[in-house]
Amino acid sequence: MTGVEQMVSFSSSEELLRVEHLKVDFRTEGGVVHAVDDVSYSLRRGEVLAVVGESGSGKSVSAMTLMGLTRARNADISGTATLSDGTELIAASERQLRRIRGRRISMIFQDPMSALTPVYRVGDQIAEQIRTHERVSRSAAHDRAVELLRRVGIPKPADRARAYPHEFSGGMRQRVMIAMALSCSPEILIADEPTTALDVTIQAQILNEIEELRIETGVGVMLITHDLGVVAEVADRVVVMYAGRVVEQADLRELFKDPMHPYTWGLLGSIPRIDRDRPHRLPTIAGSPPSLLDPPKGCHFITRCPHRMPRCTNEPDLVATSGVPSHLDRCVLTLEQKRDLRIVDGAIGLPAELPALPTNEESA
Amino acid sequence: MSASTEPTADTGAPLLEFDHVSVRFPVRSGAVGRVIGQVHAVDDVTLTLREGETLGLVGESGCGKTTLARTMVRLTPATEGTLRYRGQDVTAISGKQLRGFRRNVQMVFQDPQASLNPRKRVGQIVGAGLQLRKGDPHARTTSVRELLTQVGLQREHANRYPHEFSGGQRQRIGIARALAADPTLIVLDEPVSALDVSVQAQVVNLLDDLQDNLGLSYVFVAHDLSVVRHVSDRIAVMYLGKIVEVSPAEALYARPKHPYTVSLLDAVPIPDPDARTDRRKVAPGELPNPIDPPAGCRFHTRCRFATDICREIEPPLAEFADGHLAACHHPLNVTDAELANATRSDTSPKSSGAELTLSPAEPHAVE
Repeated sequence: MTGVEQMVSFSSSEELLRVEHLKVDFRTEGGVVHAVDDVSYSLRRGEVLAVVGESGSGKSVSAMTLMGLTRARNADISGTATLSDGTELIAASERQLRRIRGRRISMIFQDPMSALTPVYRVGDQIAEQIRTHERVSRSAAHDRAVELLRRVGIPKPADRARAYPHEFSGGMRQRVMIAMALSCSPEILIADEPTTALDVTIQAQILNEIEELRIETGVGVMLITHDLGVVAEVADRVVVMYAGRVVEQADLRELFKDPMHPYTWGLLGSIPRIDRDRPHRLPTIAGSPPSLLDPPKGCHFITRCPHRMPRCTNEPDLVATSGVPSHLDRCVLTLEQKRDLRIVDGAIGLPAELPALPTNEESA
Repeated sequence: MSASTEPTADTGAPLLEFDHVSVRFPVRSGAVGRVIGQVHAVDDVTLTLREGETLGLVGESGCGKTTLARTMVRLTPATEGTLRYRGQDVTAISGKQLRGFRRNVQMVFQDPQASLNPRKRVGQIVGAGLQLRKGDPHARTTSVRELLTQVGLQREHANRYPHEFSGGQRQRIGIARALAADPTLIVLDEPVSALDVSVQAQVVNLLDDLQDNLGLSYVFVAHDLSVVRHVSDRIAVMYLGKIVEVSPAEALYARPKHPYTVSLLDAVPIPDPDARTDRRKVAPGELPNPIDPPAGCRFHTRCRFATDICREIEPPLAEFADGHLAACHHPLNVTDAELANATRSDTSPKSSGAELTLSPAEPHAVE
């Protein structure tokens, strides 16, 4: 793999991608779905940026929009996403995007089986991607494919390159996806729930692989996940999304040690922990996420937040309240209130009781 | 489920007993479907579930946990061995007897999307379970509404279709359907794996409440060790069709004895940046082919402690204090005295070594 040797050193602060005011709406029969609502973040070289949220939070849609995968007649997309050389992705033509996908930005998906073609050998699939972007001979591309398979820990790579996707286990298929994603030494790797479908032991192996790759190649990784355990293992910075919006954004330690948004407290509290004493009941977040067709007015978390008050019906801004400039959150509570209210039974979480809604809106 | 209010594992009467149960599936090939091998999905499992107890059943995909769960509700027949419910042999019952058995033992499936008929209203889905009970149709409608309230849904949800619900709500419908038959045991096959974390916790707490109110027994199948801890009194760990460790829940986390259990514990990501796990400790490689499992201890191909004996003799289940069982020649977290006092459990597979040959574990690299 030529890219590996070339990447000797890189400056860690170099910005690879800057997303600003990204908005994605889908017009449907039931109304307009506000899937992504004014989202901004950036990704630096060699870092793992985790985008965390539950189903329907907009975390996958925002990533797929960068690759131009959400463009459709019923989609309204606005905002900008700029690469390090100034290329803007949201307004880019389909032709420009084709040159960027796979070469400058690669993506791996939750379900590798549906992302690989079942009728071609995996080696050929990887070689095809290389030859799409670079002028190399068939045999050179094949050799590189074998080398990539070796690099991601597939035993007997020369033999396995001739196998079909169905002949691989789930973990091995995900390794093939990673090999393919890396084949053109991209600057950015978007990993959408890469380990969710895998067993824990295999998940650990894949996380290891991603960790080593970003150290060796300096690739910027955008890791989309719902699992804060995985985030704590590999991420450098975290963006927490809820109902289409960023509710909190911080460096890894800041987010886990000094979380500012009640939704983050709820997420942290509801993870079953094997490293702590078992509580009598698992802490939860009451209710379920709101419909994106008709999100609540003001703070989107208002329908589930035990700390809600009348002021929450005005939309809070994303601001730095903790005193750390890079730590932003979207909640009107004061710093003192946050540090006080987030402790429930000695740990970070949300209290079980939900007070009456401050307005006449109905609770979910 | 809290240890103080529930009967401990030792006091409850046996509810469901597996006596050397094996489940094998033939592997066919070619135009005539010649049998070329067998998948040993469940291989000589002896296990007892007691009244009021929650047993966690844990292992990676392909370890046989779902097959074992399906055998419990007689969805998959046992190839060998005996299954007893309250002392009565239910391995081969059929017809009326089987329907009677299924009224007592119900199942909740992993994927609430696939396990609810999309063309039936929730009332019909939940009502189907009620047909196992006797009673007039009117009583049935009232009961459906009661069941829905019991699982945290609303009465009017009875008239809706499954697609109108979120994943967590669908799983509640599945639980209501299981409760409809008024069972004593519910087998839950990864009931929360497909749900978001915040919803996962809601469903786990619901199961907890139902057990307290109705005195149910649960078998809770999971692929990792994090959620089961919150529901289980005892936990059984499976690897490639075999039980490798059975233990009271907290003892499994405090002093795991089988190296496979240890690697499962190490693999659970801890949501604390200060506790980043040493992922190199996690078992390397993948589950071997269950058509041709390794000789001796089935875990030896991935084990850091494997020695010659592990490659030759299948370890019997050694019984330590408090009914903690582990099938390992070199158990971890044990004192010399415990090693000396351990006895060979009667629940050991027939193919395992006749004598205990325990010695301390010494790590070395796996090639």
